[in-house]
Amino acid sequence: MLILDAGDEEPAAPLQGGPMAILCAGGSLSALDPGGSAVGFHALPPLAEAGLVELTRGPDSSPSAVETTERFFATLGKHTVWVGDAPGLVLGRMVCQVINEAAFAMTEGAGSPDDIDAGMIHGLNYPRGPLAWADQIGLDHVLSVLDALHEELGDDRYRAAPALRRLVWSGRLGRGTGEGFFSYA
Amino acid sequence: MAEAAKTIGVAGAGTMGAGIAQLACLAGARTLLHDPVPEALERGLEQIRGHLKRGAERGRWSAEDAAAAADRLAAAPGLEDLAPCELVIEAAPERLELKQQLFARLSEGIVSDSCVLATNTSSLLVTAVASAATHPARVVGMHFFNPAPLMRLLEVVAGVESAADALAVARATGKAMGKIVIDAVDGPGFLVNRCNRPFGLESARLLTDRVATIEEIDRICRVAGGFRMGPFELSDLVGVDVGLEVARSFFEQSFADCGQDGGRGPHGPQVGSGLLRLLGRHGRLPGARSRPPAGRRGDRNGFDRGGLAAGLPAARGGGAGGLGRRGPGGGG
Repeated sequence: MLILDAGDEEPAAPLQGGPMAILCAGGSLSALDPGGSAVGFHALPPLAEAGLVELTRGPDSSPSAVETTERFFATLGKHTVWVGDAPGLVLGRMVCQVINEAAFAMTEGAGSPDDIDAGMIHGLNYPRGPLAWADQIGLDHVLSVLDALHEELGDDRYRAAPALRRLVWSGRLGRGTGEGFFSYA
Repeated sequence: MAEAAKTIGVAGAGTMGAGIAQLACLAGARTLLHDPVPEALERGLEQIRGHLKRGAERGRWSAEDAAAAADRLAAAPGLEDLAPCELVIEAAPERLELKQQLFARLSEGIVSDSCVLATNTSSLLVTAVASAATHPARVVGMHFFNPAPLMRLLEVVAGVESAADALAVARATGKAMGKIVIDAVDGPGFLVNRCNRPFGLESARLLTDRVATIEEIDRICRVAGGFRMGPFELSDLVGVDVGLEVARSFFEQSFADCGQDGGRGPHGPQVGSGLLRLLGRHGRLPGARSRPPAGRRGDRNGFDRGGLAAGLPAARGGGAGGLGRRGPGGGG
């Protein structure tokens, strides 16, 4: 049996033996599962387009968690790559930081959300605009990665943009709630 | 609504200047291409004629349109030949004094007072370039992305004193050139290159933190993220020297403020775009493998592993950026 813990909230009922794979968004694997036997994973939506899922393991990750998780993603047709432990792993950290910078730029009036996204797509061939991408990922997910980076690494470069935090506080989490940086009503 | 400029001067006939002049003459403007070096001017004109011809052969435009565009294009060997222009776009090398001198000379008795002077800088402040002009309000930023004829974006940058009607001329001209025009304010990296900073900086951090190798980070960005290129292959393509200059300029324009957003501070850009790139493609850090053993620990001194100049291709893009479907792009 494989249990993936992809939620930020406590499970309603304690899981038998705990999850085998934990989403490394709100922290690194070692922070989320100290001394635990699970492995960590991270991927960003749109998951259907992502050909690869990042995995990480800690000193106590069980061999069965390693194998089962690898096999699980292989059956979904995803490549896997093992990386070091960190909040958001590789892509999540990079993309959340781009989103954060875009949110700061928006707050400072350096550009409108539409112009920021159009600029990144048409000027630098980004696969999608960072703010629309954030809405797809979920702003709560983005914020949790940034807050975890800030806390674990202690570097102010990971300070979340106030605009992003306010959107999360107001329940505007992106596409899932119908509104985030953009409106989907 | 402002109208697109009908007579456009382009100062600087390098790849970027010639690309802008090509867009201008194809958009229907009388186009005057200037370069102080006669050979450079001739090369620029040849580049445009060649592109116009090839574009017609490939069906990007008709042979008649190409011929008409070529007819609208003329050499301006002297700066004073730019006198009739409604808009002059400079694509001179990225040196502040050079661009300031150019706009000072143009505005002190060559072009009319209403002429819009646009700088295509990607790394200097528009306001700083504008300060040398007789009428700084006529100066705006028109930031094309490299290669200018192919990349669809134009960033129109407002300096502190830029007049609304001057910005409107820049926008209308960009639209006539078929560009997607966005508005940006003056500051390090304007809008697009600024938002893209963490793409390079975080990849450098991930590497120094030993989260993944150069090859893994590039692959993750491509396969998991859908980017056309990873940050390290992109940096190699654009050129380490270009990246370092951009990093220096970000640093200086932040008034050497390490600030709360470390991404704009000194260690970030300079590590991200300069030093680490010296590791090159072969500068794989020891201890980082595709399948790390539990509790791995790399040794800290990896800097002697890769040849310092290894993996640096001869290709030089126009600036940072370009994750591209069309290959190199970015802030020219």
